[in-house]
Amino acid sequence: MDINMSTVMFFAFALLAVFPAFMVLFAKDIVRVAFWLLASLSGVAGLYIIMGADFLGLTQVLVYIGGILVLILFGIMMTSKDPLLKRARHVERSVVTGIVTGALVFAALAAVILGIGFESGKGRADGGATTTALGEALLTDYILPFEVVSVLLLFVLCGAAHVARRRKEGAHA
Amino acid sequence: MGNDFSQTQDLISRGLAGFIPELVLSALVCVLLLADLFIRGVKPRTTAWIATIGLVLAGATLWPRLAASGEIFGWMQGGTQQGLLVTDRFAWFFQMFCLATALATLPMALDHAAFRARRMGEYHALVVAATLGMFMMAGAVNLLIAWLGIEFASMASYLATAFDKRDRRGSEGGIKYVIYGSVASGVMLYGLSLIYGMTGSLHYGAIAQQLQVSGASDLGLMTAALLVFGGFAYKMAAFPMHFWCPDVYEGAPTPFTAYLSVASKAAGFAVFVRFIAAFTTGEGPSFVAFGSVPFDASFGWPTLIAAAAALSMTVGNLAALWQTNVKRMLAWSSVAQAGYLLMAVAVYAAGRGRPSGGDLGPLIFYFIAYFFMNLGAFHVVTVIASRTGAQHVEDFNGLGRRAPWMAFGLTVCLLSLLGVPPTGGFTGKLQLLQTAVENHLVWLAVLAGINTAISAFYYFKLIRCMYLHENQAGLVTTGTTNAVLLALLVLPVLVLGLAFSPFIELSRSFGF
Amino acid sequence: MPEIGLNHFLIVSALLFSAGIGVVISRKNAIAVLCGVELILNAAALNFVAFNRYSTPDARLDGQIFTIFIIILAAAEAAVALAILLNLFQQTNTVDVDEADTMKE
Repeated sequence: MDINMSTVMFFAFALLAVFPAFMVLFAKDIVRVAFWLLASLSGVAGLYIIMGADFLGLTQVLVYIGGILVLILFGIMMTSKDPLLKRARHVERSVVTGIVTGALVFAALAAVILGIGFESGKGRADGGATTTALGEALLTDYILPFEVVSVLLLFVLCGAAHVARRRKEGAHA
Repeated sequence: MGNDFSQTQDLISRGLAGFIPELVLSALVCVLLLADLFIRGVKPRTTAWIATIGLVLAGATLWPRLAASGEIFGWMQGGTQQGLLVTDRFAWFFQMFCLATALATLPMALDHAAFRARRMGEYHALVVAATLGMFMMAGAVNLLIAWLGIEFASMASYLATAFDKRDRRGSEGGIKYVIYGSVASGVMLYGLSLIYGMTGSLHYGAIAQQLQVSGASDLGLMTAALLVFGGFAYKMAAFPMHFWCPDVYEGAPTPFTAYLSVASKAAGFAVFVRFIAAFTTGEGPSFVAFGSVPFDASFGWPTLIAAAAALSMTVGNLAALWQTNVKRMLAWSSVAQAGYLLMAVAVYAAGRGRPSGGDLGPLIFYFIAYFFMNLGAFHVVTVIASRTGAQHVEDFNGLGRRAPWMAFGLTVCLLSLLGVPPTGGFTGKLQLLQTAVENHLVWLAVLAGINTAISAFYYFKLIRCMYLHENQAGLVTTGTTNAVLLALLVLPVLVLGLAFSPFIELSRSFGF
Repeated sequence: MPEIGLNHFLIVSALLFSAGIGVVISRKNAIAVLCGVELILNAAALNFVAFNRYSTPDARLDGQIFTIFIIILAAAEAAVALAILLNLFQQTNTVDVDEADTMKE
């Protein structure tokens, strides 16, 4: 039985995605939760690259890990009442509920996925880099959502700035 | 991607020509955001006028689309267009509906106590943005656009709910809305990914065709249905994703609660009906087959929807019985209303396989009535609350003497929500019950009848407070604009109850 | 060892999804719940990419496009949630979903 490179890569990245995902469930400290999430998202980025979605893998790293996680860390820092190291005492009460629910959901989904019996093989073959094709699709077939999302980002940023801005006494909110 | 350049160019320019109302709304969002920045000391009235003009303009450009039909944007595949949005009478109705809701809640926002003497451009921009998202929801024929429209409307709603930063309940409602909302959206997304995996397409038409030609695993479709329904139910405020409703409705600024309870629900129903239409076409293997057989046979979309309808109305009405806060009571009442409306969707889904089935008239008619009665009720609550600070049922004591016209309007709207003749709510509910009975859903119709009886308790509790309980407080002055808006909302409720036949015909013509 | 195929990726995604659901159910801290949501979104995105790679009939990139939009919307959602959360924290000094819960009848 020969073990080829792609199989090893798959299991490495799958482990990197899944193990930290469960640590997000178990970790007691909110900062650790964020860092386990970071690891898990990197694993997903690796899986994208294995599947030939190179552009998505890089976007995942840039936007998710570079953007969203930094945002979450800022959120943690700005809402902590005590030095971060002390946050560990915040013990969660219902981890067991989480584990049981998660296990049930996984059992059901795995049964469904294996039950459906998806065939692999008729999909797009490895066609090299996807960036050109994605850019082309975004500006032709999918130009509508592409443009619409820019409006969304505009009002989300303005609205979020309005809501999060600290009030000055007497000023218009 | 296979398309030559001129064909693509043609698709985009034709798409843009059919997309003018949405472009107007996008421009309006930008103008409103800029108005706050560049007009020094901008008054709430100024931005409200800008918003009004923009919305009317969008309505005027939307009007000609009544005659349009066909899909816009997207790409050509095998000679047929796989569009992203569709322009037809059904979409037109719900788009006009959301536009009208945004317009009707504008004067309420001007009147809202917490909104006076503030920069309101951003609030109006958020409402317009939510409306734009609902435009996409109403016309979506592609899984990506349906989901994007839902998210678009949701994001604007989250922010508008938490807009009043001094109100602690607003922030609390907002955080609950966004957290539960993103969970619902994530779960739905997982379901959508399964559908994409099983059918290999995001386009509704292609999905329906794929299901008819080669079918798909029942188990897979069932799982996807359950997951996806979570997301839709969240937007419709129906069981099992209704629990956010009371907190968000209570926390949000009342004018926005009014907008949310009417427009958001309507758009949720629009996107949902279009979605299930793709899954219940004609006969064929898999889920499609469940659409054409009566309910006892097996699990399918109609069963799922009927169960959600039954639970929504029961849970909503039972919970509303215990509420003392008027906004919370109306929130649970709107969950119950979602149940009645879902009844029509269940009938629609069950009837798709039959030649006579698939009539959306009752749903549309009930929505027309719902627009007037629910907005009317919220209008009175906003006006009274911003003048007396009333929040609880007891605060409405003696309103029959203190503000006779407001009390009368609220009474008519509540009676209509309950379904008492001669109001639009009665005609609408009668049609819902009738079609349910005709389509082998007798148990659901009976349950709706029982629920109507239960709901009488809490609707009459408020009416009794207004007329039978004394309150020595002075008269409430309400102003001309509010009186006019009240008349515009309450009179149609009575018209729909008395001269209903042209409207029944009209609403039938909006189906697809 | 079998060839890596679609089901492998789907199982990984199902694991991420159930971990996300578990986090959402068990956590009280709003930021932690948000992390759970990110896991759920990533599970769905992974599904889209995997189906696009292994089982859609033609060379289109619909699944990958969908994933791009998921990433964008996730960023917007996180911004909105954290903005509202910051404002709530300024008012109540807590990010605990249960502690902040005052609206009950």
